[in-house]
Amino acid sequence: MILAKRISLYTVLVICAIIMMFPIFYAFSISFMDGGEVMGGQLLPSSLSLDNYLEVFKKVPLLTYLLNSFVTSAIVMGGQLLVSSLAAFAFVFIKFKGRDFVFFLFISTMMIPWEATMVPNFMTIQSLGWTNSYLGLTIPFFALAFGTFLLRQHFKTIPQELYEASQVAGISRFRFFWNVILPVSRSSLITLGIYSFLTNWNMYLWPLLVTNTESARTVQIGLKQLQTQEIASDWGIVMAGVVIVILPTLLLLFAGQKKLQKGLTQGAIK
Amino acid sequence: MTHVELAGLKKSYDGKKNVIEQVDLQLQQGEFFVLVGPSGCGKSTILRMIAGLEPITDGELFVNGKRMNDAPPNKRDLSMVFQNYALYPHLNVEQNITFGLHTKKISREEQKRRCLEAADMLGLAEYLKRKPRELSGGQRQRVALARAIVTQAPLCLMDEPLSNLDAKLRTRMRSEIRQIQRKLGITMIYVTHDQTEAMTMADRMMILHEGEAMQIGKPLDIYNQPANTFVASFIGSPAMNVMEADVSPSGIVLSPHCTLPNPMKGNVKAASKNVQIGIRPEHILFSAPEQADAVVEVVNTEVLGTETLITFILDNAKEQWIARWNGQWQFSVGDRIPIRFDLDAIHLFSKDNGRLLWAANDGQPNQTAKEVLR
Repeated sequence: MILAKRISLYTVLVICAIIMMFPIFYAFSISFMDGGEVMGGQLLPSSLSLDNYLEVFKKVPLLTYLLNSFVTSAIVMGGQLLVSSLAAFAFVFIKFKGRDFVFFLFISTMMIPWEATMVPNFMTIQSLGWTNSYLGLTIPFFALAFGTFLLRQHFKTIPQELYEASQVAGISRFRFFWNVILPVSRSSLITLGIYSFLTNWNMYLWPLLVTNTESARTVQIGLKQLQTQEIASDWGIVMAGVVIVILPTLLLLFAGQKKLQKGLTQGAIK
Repeated sequence: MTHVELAGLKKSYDGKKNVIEQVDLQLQQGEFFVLVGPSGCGKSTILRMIAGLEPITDGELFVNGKRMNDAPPNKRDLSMVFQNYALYPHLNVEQNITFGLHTKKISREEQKRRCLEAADMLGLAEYLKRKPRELSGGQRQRVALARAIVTQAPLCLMDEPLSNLDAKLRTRMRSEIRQIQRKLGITMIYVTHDQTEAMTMADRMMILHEGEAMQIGKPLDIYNQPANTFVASFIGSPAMNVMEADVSPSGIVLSPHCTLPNPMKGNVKAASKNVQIGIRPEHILFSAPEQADAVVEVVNTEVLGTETLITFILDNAKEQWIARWNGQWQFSVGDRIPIRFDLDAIHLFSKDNGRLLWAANDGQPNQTAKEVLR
């Protein structure tokens, strides 16, 4: 009985895994094929040729794009961690009138879709002259209601006595934040960091709006360029680009999976 | 020399109802003072007001004669031990102990020296590199103590520091804390809900009830002369028997079958008709049948080894009395036994406000000594 249950469970899991993984596997597979093989509908390449990978770097400045994506994602990650943790600290450890109201106001901005604020944001960036620069690509994302919420929930589990003990010891507020709160909340910070890095890495619309030179564009736009540069897309090359672009994502996910799960469910109970 | 003075201290959270009513108190240098009361009586609030973690609504706080109402906690020159120890989980024991010392401009060598000294005193020397989660409850408690000691602050506040420990460890830490306090000569304000802790540790103590100071004094004075029924039943374990009685110049009527001679000997003023009589369990004695004040029915016996607690009723089944006798006594439920009340240890309380009207002893502990000799 138990065995039968286990077999059926694993069968379902395997099927789901195949459905989920197939597109990625197919993209990986296509990245080694030439045009004829792709059109022939083959599942596996006849040979493992790296021609497509060499070609993709020649066609678009993929290295520049990768660098841009990496730098903007890192900046956004750092910015979001700093702003969110400071905001969350204020919401948990500093008493002020209307604190809860302000917090709910803050949280309620999560209900406004990003696209709705895109136009005003774009006009601001444009009038500041930040188009085609890292500033324009990163600054609008620094304040993140979700991040503040996530960290606030974790900070709330930190005993208030730690704050009081450091007050008695004469440690300044910022030092307490830096030397106690941040190290104690490491897992939540890592979760948020990975989340914001990946979100930014996969961003398409905003970089498309605020950049129009090759030197400032990011990978997601590069991928789009690969598809539309010629009348018939060379899918082998496109997929080679895709594989290169999703590599950092996968690496980050594998490295941080445990932390990510732990952090996202943290504070859910209690 | 007066170290800490509270003058008319009040606390209110909503501006209407005071959770702390008018607390006046003067603490001498080097005194071990205990604030004791049931949970929710406001003892921690007073401590937190002294520490500066809670704003003072009204009244004044003086430390060494200087008004400290608005000084931030670190300017009040005190250390504090919290109930849950408040250790920093990511720092090891040594870092925990020295955390914050740098703000007092103490050199690294001096920090190290003080840390080792405190660790030695508390038997933590071999755990200095461990994280708090690798320590037992008692060891964490000691780290929290060490952290208070290294600051060398002349005033130390403790908020129920022993309540998370098991009974055995608690007894040991009680005496350890007391010894350290004596050795360092610091003034200590200690909050607890445990009357045993208060009795055994305090030089003086204050009993609090619903934000009001019930009585301030030395433990034995309070034990022997409780100011009211609340103090009488709060201090001492098992609690003092407090029962209703009718008092007339001729005697105290406890029940239709039990009348005690009036021990007040002509003190008519206190002999109002409706009073409550209070007598500690150790002052209800086993008696020869012909000398007995009453024959009572046993409801329960608890043999503790060195002593026996006997719960009994006189006539009213709702009023259960407790007697404490030395030695091991075996009674069955329903047994009828003769008892005698020690008239030299009776307290009379007003029925209206619970205040002490009259006490047989004059607050000297000779009563207890006499008991032992009998």
